[in-house]
Amino acid sequence: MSPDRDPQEPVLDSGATIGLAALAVGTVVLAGCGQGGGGGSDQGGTPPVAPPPVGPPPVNPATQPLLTVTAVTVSATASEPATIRVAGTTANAAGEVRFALDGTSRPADPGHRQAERAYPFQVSTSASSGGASATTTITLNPAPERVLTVSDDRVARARHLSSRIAFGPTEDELNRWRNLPYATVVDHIVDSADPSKDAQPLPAAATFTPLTWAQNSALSDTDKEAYSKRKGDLLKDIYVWWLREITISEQPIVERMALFWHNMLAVSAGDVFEPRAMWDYLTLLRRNALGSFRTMIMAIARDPAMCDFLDSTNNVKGRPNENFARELMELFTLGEGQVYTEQDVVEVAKCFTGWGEDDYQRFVFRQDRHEPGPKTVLGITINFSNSDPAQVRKDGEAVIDRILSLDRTAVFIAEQFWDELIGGTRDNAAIAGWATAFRGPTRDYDIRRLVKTALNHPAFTAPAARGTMIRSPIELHAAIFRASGVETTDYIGRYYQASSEDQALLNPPNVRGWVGGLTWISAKSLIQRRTHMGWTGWEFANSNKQRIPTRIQAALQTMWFVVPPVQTAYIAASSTVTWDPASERIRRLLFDPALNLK
Amino acid sequence: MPATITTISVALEGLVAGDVTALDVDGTAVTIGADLSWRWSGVVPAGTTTVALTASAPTRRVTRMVELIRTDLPTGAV
Repeated sequence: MSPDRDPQEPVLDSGATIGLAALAVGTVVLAGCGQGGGGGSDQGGTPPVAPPPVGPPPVNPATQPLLTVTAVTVSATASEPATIRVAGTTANAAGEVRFALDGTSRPADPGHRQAERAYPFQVSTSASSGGASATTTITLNPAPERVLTVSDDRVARARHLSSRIAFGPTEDELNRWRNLPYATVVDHIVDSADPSKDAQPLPAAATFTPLTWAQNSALSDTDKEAYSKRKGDLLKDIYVWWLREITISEQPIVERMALFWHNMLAVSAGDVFEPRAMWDYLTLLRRNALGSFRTMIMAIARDPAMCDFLDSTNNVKGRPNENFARELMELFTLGEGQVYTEQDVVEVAKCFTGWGEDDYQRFVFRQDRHEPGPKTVLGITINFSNSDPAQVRKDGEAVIDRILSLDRTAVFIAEQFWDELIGGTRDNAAIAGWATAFRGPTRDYDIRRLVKTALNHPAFTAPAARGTMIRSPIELHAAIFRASGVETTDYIGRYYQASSEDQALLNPPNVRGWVGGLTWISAKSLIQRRTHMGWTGWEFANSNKQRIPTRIQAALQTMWFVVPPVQTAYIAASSTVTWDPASERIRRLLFDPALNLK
Repeated sequence: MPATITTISVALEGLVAGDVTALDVDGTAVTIGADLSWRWSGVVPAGTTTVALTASAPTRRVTRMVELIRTDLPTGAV
């Protein structure tokens, strides 16, 4: 299902399928109604004969078109008492004439995503003093290239917003957002996002129970190989699942922010190679993507995939492993060389000794591996070990509390937001303001508040900010497909393609994640991007199922491009080819360098 | 003075699917009846304008555009 297509609306070239689907729906609903013979079996004896259906068969609500227009009423008022006529019909006392769009008196609503349909009405007044006349036309589904014009700054503003805080707009999003005040759109996008919702059923990894070390050791070599392959397949399922979620989600800000946090709190599936742990890690990022950073960072310290990736499980009394401690401060909260010292790294590592994962890849605290005694961290003494043996794990939590008590932490996160949403030279004064808002008076570190502050900042909203950043491979893929109204048939292929352009979801190159920005463009990645676009163009042109709807094709430039294409003459000349001008135009748009900008 | 047309208004009526929880027109909520019907009305200004109707359900959302055009004809064109 494409992100912005009502899946139940008829597709022009599949009428037979629609008929069968409608029959199937009717059957299912009737069977589930519990009426007639089904209910009689509980009463004993001969089941009563089901009564004949009355009226139209029940309709499954979830398969109905979301929104249809069934009638229009046109009314007018005149400057003095007069007879009002609409389309030749005399209006009632209120000046109204109602017209049903039932396919008889007026054509029926063609439905979402279908071609536009105009309903013209002539309105006239007549009085002894004379009359007047006007026409009013109501058009359902106006062609997007007329509504979403390149020159409309409201469209450009909405597209910029979507390109930075999501993955590029759908037609529906542009339509909806262009008519609303900007701040209202920001509030809507941020406040209505519900990270607990998923667009798809969860992948198998969500319920996968891994073998323990002992169980795995007992397997034969053949079974070990099969188990390893099974885990690899489950990981691929997660990659595909997330990439599809990114592509079709109705609330892409959740996935965009999850990707941001994945890059900042990086874990590599290739290193961990445990599908359940990686799924739980991804779920942690997605569910907390717009919540409290305090909650997120506490959770990430206990996350089994992170414990594995940064060696927390090997961080034990007498042999502190500094990996997590260092990255916690350097990459997750304070920034390299900021506030903390090398001695702090050692002490923080001691606080987290005993934190790790158990044999089933669940978080566990092992008190016998915990370093007892006081530790001096960032200027304070932490010593839960001695004060309350039952709460020794709080040494680690106290470290995070201490880090979050420092003003620098919010500044560091705000800097990352600046780099992600605006790029270029940081405005430290602006960042300080964002940090204050993010931190909040109670230091709750509300991510939604930070997002709103950033998106409403003049440095973000200024027209000069548009088209100044480079789309990552994942962003490029998602932007193209979200706007086109069709889905790829090969998500794993898309995943590997993005990987060849240096962005393999859930497999960042190292703990620092992807550097992004200009590093997305290299001699190698440019070739790969061209291959990617060639493949995309082929998919759009060669599969009837993937054909971009005709009504959307003409608006692709407006939806895909944040800045005008570079090769406008070349694109325009596509209309002169004889084999398939529409496909050729799409192909030339895909190959235009400006498509790489957001 | 002839009786001029001071305002032209349109009202749209329709139905939403059973799982729709909210309907708005350009951000303003529209009431959904128990029978899943809805009605919205507005004045049509001179020239061309568009309104966006958005129906939201827990797992899907649709925005439908409606274009409204008013063209006043010269006096005597009746």
